Amino acid sequence: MTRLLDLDAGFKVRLAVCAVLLVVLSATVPGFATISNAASITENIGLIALVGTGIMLTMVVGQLDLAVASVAAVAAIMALSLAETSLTLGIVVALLTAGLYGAVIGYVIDRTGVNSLVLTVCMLIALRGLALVLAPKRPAILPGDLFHISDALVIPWGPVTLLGIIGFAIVLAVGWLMRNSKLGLSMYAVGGNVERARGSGVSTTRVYMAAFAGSAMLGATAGILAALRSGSASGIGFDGFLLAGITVAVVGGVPLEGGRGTIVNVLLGALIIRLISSAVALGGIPGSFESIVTGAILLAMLLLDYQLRRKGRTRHAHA
Amino acid sequence: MADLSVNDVAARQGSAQPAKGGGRAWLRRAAPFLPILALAGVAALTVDGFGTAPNLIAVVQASAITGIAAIGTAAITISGKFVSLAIEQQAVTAAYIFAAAVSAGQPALVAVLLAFAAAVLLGGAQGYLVSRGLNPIVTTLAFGSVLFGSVVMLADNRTITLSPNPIAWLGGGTTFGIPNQAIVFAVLLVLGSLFLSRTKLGRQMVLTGANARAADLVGVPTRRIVVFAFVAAALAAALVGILVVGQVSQAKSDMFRGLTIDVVAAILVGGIAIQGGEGQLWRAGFGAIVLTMLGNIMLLLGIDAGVRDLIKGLLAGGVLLSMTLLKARNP
Repeated sequence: MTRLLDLDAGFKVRLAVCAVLLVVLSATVPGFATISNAASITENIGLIALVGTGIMLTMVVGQLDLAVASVAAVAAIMALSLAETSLTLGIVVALLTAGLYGAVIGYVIDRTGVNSLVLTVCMLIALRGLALVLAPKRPAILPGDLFHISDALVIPWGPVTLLGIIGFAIVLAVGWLMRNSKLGLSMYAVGGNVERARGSGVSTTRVYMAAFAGSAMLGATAGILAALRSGSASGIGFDGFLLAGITVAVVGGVPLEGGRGTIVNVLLGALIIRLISSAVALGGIPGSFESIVTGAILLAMLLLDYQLRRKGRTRHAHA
Repeated sequence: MADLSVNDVAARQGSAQPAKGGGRAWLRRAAPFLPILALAGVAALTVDGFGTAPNLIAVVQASAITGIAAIGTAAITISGKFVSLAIEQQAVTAAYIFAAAVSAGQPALVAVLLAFAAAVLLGGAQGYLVSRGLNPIVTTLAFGSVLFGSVVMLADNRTITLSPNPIAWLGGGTTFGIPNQAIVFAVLLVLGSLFLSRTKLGRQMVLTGANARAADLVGVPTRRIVVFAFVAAALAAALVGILVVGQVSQAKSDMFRGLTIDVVAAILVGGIAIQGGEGQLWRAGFGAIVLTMLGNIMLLLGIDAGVRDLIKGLLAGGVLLSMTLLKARNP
C-alpha cells in the first residue's frame, strides 16, 4: 500500500494545493461548498482521471497517445449503436475493439520505432473520421428504455455518484496493477531506460502493447461513461478529452520523458483541475474560459517541471 | 549521426544539388508534380464536375490555404520539433485581429501589420518555450487552447463581417485566371525553398533538425533557430487567416476548424522526414495539393466527410510508417 501511495514530496505539494484551493474556493465562490457540487466534482474527476490514467500509461513507458479523444468517440458510438440489441454487448465489443486497436498500435510502435506522437496524430484523424462514419448525420443516442441507466449513473450519493465511483475504482485498480504486477513494473523500467530494460530481459513489445491497449481502453471507458451520462455520442463531442487527459497526467507529475508517475498524484491532478473548472463555471464565466484555464494550467506545469528538472540537473552536476 | 557535417546535410536537400545533366535534373525536379498532374488528369476524365473551372479554382484555393499553413509549419518540422497543434487557433486569432482592426476604421495595411505583429509575439513565445526543451506538441496544444479561449472570449463569440472588404481582391480575386491565393502559395514555396537551400540560416535550420547537438557544437544558434521556425509558422498561419477573411469577408470562431489536422496530414503525406533535418519544403506543398484534390474528388463522388477523414488519417499513417521503415533499412 505504501508503494501505491508513494508519499513523496510531489504528493505533499499537490495535497497542499488541493487543500488551499478547497478552503479558498469554498470561502469565496457561492454555491461551491455544497454536497451537489461535490458530487459533480467527484464525478468529473472520475471521468477525466480515466483519460489521464490512460495517457499516463503511455507517458510512463516514454511515449504519448494523442488519439484518446477519437478512441473515446468511436467506442462511445459503438456502444450506443449496439445498445438497441444489448448494451452489455455494445460495451464489451467497444472495449475489446479499443484494446485490440491499442495493442496493434503498441506493436507497430515497438516494431518500427515510429514516433508515437506522430503515429497517434494520424490515428486521431483517421478515428475521428471513423466516428463520423459510424454516426454520420446525427449523434448515436441511447434507446429510450435505457435512460434509467443514465439516471442511475448520476444520482448523488452524498458527495459521490455511481459514475464517479466507477471511474475511481478503475483508476485505482490500474494504479495498483502498475505497482504490483510484473508487467506494470516493466513499464516503469522501459520508460526509465529502454536499453537497460531490454538488457535485463524485458519484452518491450509486450510493454508497449499493454500501455497503448490500456490507454485506448481507459479512453474508451471514459467515452462510454460520458455517453451513457448524456444519452448521446457524436464524433466531435469528445475533443476536450485530449487536453484534459494530458493536463491531468502532467499536473499529476508524470514526466513526458517517462519512467515515473503515480496514480495518487494523477488523481490529485484531476482534483486540482476540477476544483478550478468548477469554481470558474459557478462564477458564471463563459465556457471558453475553461479552455483558457486548462491550457494555462498545463503550460504552467510544463514550465514548473522544466525549472525543477533544470535545477535538479545543475545540482546533479555540482555533486 | 554525430559526425554529420553541414555538407552532408546540404547534399540531402534535393534542391541544393547542382543541376547536372540538364534534362534529367529537370525531370527529377518536375517529378513531384507528375503524380499531381496524373491524379488531376484521371479525375478530370472520370469524375463528373472535377474538370470545371469553378471546381478547379476551388481546389486550387483550398490547397493554397492548407499549403501556405503547411509551408510555415514545415519550418518547425525541419528544425526537428515535429509539428504545432495550434495552427488553426493562430489563424483564427489573425483573422479576428485583422477584421476587428479593419472594422475599427484602420487601413488594411495597418490591420495586416497588427495581425503579423501578434503572430510574431505568439510564435516567439511558443518557440521560446520549445527551444528550452519543452515538448513541442504538448506545449502548442496547451498554448492553442489558451489562445482560442481568449480570442473567443474577447470577441464575445461574435462574427465580424467586413463590408466593404478591403482585401477581397487578394483573398478571392484571380490574376490571369489563377487565384491570387495560389500565387501567394507558389511564391512562398519558392522563397522558402531558396531560403532553406541558399541561405546560411536556412542550412543551419536543416542542421538543427538533423542533429541538434552537433549543430550546437559547431556554433549554430539552435535555440534561436527553433524560435525563428515557430515565428515563421505563426506568420504563415496569420497570413492564412488574413487571406480567408479576404475571401469570405468575415471572421468567426469556427472558420478554420480542421485546419491543424489538414496541415499535419499534408506534412506527413508529403513525406517530410518527421524527425527533422531534411529541407525538402516542396513536400509540404505537394502534400497539401494531393490531399485537397483527393478530398475534392471524394466529395464529388458523394463520399461523406467521415470516410474522407478516415482515408486522410490512414494515408498519413501509411506514408509515416513507410518512411520510418525505409529509413530503418537504409539509414
